[in-house]
Amino acid sequence: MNKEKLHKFTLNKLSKESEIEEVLNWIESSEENKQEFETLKNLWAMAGFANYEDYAGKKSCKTQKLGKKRVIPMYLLKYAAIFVLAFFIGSTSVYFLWNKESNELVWNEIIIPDGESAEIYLSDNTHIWLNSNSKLTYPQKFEGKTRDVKLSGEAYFDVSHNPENPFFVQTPELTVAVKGTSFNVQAYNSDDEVNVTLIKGKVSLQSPKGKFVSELSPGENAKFDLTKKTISLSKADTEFYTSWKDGYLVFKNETLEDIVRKFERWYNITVIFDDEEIKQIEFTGTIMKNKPIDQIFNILKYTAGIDYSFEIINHKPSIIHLKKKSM
Amino acid sequence: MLNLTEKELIQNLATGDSLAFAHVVEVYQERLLHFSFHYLNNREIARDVVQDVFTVIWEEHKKFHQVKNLSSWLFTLTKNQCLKKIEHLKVAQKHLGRLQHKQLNLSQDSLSHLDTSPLIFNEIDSIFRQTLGKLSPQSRRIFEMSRFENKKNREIADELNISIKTVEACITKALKVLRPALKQYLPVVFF
Repeated sequence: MNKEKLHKFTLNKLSKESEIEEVLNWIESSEENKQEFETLKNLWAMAGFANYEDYAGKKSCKTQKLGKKRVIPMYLLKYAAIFVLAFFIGSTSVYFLWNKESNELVWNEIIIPDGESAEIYLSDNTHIWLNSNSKLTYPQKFEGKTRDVKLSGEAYFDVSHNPENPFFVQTPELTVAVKGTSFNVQAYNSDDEVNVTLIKGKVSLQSPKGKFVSELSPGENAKFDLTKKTISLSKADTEFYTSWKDGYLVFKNETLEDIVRKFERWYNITVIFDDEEIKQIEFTGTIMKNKPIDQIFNILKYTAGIDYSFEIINHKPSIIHLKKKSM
Repeated sequence: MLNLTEKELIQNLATGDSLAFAHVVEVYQERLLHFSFHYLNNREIARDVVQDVFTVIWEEHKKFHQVKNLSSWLFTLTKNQCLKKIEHLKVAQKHLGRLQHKQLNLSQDSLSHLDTSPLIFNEIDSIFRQTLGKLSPQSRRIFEMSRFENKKNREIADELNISIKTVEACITKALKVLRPALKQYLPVVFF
């Protein structure tokens, strides 16, 4: 038995059925072999064991003020699976093709409307999660020296490694150049900034004409101000920028105004503030995406003294008014 | 990140403090996912399992009074939840392929032999320190990266600017050294 195959099987890395079959046959052929497999399997699991202090110490130390906070206790989700990133291609996105004059690349376009999200793989095995209200244009097959895609909206990229053919994400004002890494790009036309957050690896930021602007290290966020044309780098809580792809939203001391903007995209609703002052209330917490909208506003009601009312359009709550709870 | 000792954290959890809870999710989520995926070989189901584990500890936070070792407690819950899930998958999904069925059986057997007691969590650190001390600093670094930082071999290779083959070789070597050290905790098949 080829040890490498057994090893790969143990780590769930064999994909060919014939190879899986081969390993399974070997394991089943004797008790010793089975024990060998079990030992290896559990050894790997145990390699990840450590006590709390070790774990906590190994995470990059983020300091966080523990002042007075409003916490949205939304972790309890008995009946809902957290990962419901269904593939909505058929009903929610529009595909069309056209030919680019310069070469014969066939380009696809995928449009994600408000309230939906999607996950796709490109021809080079790059994995992309697209958030609500986003558009991605990409070639059906990558050819030539570079891998180019165009984005408006928000997407998380897990780019497959290939130093020979760098990968470019183009947004109208900023281009992200990478070789192979994971990062999040937020470039909504309606926002006045572009956010790029790097999870691992290395990316460089360029102007649309290809001029070098800046480089990012893992855990850093670059904020590009579209009006001032300035860029600022900061250490970021990457989870804050990327949790949407796993079906939840994380808020850390974020104002209701900013949170509501995310809700609008996520649930395809319009929110109107009837009282200006509540915009500035800050929240910290986690919200699961597949919660019904009224449950989320109920929590605001009970924890923050905010009242809400729905205007129903087409049998769906579509416009939501927020105001201070009357005494 | 909260700066609490394990004991303080457990006490806060027992009172239903949601910040403490969020902190536990932050520290353990990735690792428990990794663990569940290792045995279930399906990311969505692994996520379900971890979600269930967090739901259970939130709903039954009063039980935290008895907890001595947080890691052991969480991994034991996850292990049991995985076993429950495997049992369920085997019954509910009759259409499961023959190969998948066999793989589930193997995972079930391995997992039920896996020791997640506080004992192992308390000993494993010293075992790791002693054993990994025998490796070269680079090999140790590679192994720690794969163990704690959940990095893929490819990412480690890129970061350290070495070949993926070297990474694989180092990890295999580290496991080889660890194996005799962890022998008493590894599964024993009874006839």
